[in-house]
Amino acid sequence: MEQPPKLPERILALFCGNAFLEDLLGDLHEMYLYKRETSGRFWSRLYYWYQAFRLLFSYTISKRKRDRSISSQYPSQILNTMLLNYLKISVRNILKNKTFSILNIFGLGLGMSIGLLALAFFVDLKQFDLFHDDAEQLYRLTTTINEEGNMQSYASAPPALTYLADEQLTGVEASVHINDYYFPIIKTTGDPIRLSGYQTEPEFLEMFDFPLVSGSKDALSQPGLVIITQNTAQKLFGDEPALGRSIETENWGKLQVGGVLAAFPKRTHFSFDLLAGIDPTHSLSDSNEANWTNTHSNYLYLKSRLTPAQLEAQINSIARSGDAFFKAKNLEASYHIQAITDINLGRKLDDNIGNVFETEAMLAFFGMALLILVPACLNYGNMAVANALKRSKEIGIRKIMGSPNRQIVHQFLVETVIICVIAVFLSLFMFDLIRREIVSMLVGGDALNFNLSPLLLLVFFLFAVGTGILTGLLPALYFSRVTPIKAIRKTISNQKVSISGLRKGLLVFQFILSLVFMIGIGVLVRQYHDSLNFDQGFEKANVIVLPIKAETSELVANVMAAAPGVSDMSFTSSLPGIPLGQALYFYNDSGMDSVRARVVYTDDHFIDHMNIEMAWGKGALIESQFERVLVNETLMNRMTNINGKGTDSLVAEMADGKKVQIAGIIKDYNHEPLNQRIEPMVLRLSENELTFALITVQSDDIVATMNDLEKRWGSIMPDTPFQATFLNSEIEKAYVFFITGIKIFGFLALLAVTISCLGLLGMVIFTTENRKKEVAIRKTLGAGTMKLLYSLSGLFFRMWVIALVIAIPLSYIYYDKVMMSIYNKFSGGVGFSEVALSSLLTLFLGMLAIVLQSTKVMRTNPADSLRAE
Amino acid sequence: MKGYLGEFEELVLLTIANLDREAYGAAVLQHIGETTGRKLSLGALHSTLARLEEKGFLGSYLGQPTATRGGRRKRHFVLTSEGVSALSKMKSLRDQLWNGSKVNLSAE
Repeated sequence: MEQPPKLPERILALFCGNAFLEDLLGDLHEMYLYKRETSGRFWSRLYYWYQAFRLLFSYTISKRKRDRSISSQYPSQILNTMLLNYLKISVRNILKNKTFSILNIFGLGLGMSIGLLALAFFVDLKQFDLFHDDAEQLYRLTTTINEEGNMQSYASAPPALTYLADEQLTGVEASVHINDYYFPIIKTTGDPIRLSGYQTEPEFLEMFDFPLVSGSKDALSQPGLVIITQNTAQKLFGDEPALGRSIETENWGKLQVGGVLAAFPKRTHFSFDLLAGIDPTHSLSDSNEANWTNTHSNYLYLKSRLTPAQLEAQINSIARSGDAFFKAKNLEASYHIQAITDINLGRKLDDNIGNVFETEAMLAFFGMALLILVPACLNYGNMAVANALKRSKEIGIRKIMGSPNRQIVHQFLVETVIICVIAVFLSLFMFDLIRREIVSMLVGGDALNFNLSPLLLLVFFLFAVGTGILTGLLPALYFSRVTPIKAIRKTISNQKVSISGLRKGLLVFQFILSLVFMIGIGVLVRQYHDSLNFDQGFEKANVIVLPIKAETSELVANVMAAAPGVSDMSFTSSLPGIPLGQALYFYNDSGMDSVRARVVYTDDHFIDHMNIEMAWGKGALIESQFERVLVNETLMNRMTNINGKGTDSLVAEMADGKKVQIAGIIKDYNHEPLNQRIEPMVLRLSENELTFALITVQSDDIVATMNDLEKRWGSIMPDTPFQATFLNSEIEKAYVFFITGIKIFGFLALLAVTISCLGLLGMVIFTTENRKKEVAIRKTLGAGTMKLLYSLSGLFFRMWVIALVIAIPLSYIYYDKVMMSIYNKFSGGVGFSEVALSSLLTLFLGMLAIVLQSTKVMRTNPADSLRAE
Repeated sequence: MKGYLGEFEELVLLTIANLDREAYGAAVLQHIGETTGRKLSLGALHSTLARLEEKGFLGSYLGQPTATRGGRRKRHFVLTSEGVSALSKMKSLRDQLWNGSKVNLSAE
């Protein structure tokens, strides 16, 4: 017998869920057969479709669905009404206890903000390198070297192997070699610009999505041509077209711009300012030992449809030919294929290229976020339980009306979820404030953008909901287990009047954290202040810094020195008080050993002008048979060390083969910022390297002098802008990390203080509510307000003293030992004032919480608290 | 709104009364189609049947499966006493109005 079409029936079944359909389908079937007697197959089918469609939207279907849903065990309707009811009651509760809600929103908001950072970090990293075409087909070759059981993994690979792989690997669509040992230093006015980039092949721009704005990728196959990023172009040439311009570098000769890349998404592990062609000599000599065992800075990226395992098998068999070289060194090498999308948040690899964040670091970050979030959640729980009396009637009535435990749990969870969703907005605000500091603190942090994408917002929302559930569990489980009788008689919390040791411990811990962070702010502020005012051993007052082109130093000297108000001037290649970049090696007499020394080029007046003290010799540098240089004591000591005792040679050979005579020894002074150790340093006389003019101004009207200088500058250098600053403010910039540190510590202190105060408040509420009767009896017997306050705050004082006893020595040890190991100690470290200030602040905040809550209890009429008995 | 009976509802009730034991969806639809020439959809008919059931004028029970329906059971509809009384009330109201008519209503 002919059958009607099946599809409409399925659609009906799908749409109607569990509604009863049998009779309707039967009717449809019968009608089809009836229609078929008179009409053709097509028309009958069409008729059937039409009837089924009409049925789909008919009243009978919706009625049957409704009937069915009411009789099922988890009715959707009831769930909805219950949810609405939960929401309504939650909103009422939140509005009713405004102080309680605001405090909790604040605490949870702060607590979640670190979590938001960690999540933003995570979400950003997960999207790294996804923007390339076919990102899932991109891999790189990594190396694992087994040194007698000690495994060491590298992101790089032996050059010989990577070029062998080019010839022998099958199933690979493209491969790119990258060498990241490429960092041209570009001469301009002022400090030289240091760039870092990759030497690679034209295919780099095919495999990875870095589009060109101008020029062509073939620039990478011609020596001397480079492709620069938009940022670099902006830095070097401003808004002028960069294509075809040449760049003078100190260490890579003259380069010409052969292409400019468009701005690309930051989310990539690659980090480069420019790209250049790779040196093809690498590809030869795969029988050379160093080409096998030295993997440094050599990377191979592959595009392939094969699975990593297939590629790995091929690579490891190709690599057989190099095994002998490793064997000779008692090593064993194996190779792995890593998907490019696994690089970030991947396993730990040495010799990595670009910005890589490891899983361990991420876990530590999440751990820190949890460490701050969990106390915030527990505090909420404590406060909610402490507030139990206010809720007991509601819970009692709910229970008596037959509400199962589940519904009470739901009620509390809905409430905390609402609070957390509100709080996440506050966190978002905090997140916005601190994200730049965090990014600037992380190495390679500029690859992260932390932009608020819809995805990130969704993650934040889910996080808030999750936190809400986590937070609500404690009070929810507590309240759901209460028996109705106890609830209605308001005796919920009378079971235990004392506060458990665990909760006290938690609070003391929070106090310690707040104290340590607050003392930390003090230490940083003091260090910052002292660093700026420290006598670094050179003159920095009233000194104007003027970046110049080296070849113009004489002209500038002539013009500027004549200006009224200018008392002295000299030239240098690097500003005192700012980190130094250039270095060279001093050999000992036998030429076998060497000392690395930082180089400063100056004119012959620098030492006198900057008032730098000499240990021996004169400050003036004169060119004679040998170049005459000044060295600092540290360099002299090291030289003496490597030359052996006895010899006290004043002639030394430098790495460039030039012999120099040491004409004077400078007393050690901090040419670099104070956080750097005093390194061996040499002052050389040179006219070609002087990029800064230092001008001392003695004038009553600095502004007029500056204007005069600017006018003079304009007359000799009309094309170059006048960029004078004060040496003091340049030095200040070198300490900007302090400001970042102060902000971060400030944030952490705010977090810790707020959370601990909330915790304290919760405990005070708990105590006072439980001791209402006691307070009332004391009052009726004639106790004064102060006496009551004293008895209530006794607990807090004890905890505060414990926290102080632990926190102060801890701060001394932590800040003096740990901080000083990374930062030279130039001030007293932890001082009395910050300890006193932070202790008093916590005491004040704690007392505030106690006084506010206790006065509330004490003002109540004793009759109200006692009447119920 | 139990008392009110629409024209189509009345028609459906009367058809069910005519079909008696064989009053199920497809049969009612076919019968109405034959007697009145109206082209109805099954959805419209079942909606009305569901409403009449809600109002209490109809009851239903599931019958035996038959091969012509792909082995599916029929839902038989029967008039309840309320349905019967609603119909007869309607009839007597109409009769009363017919009888009281001052205009000759017979169409021949």
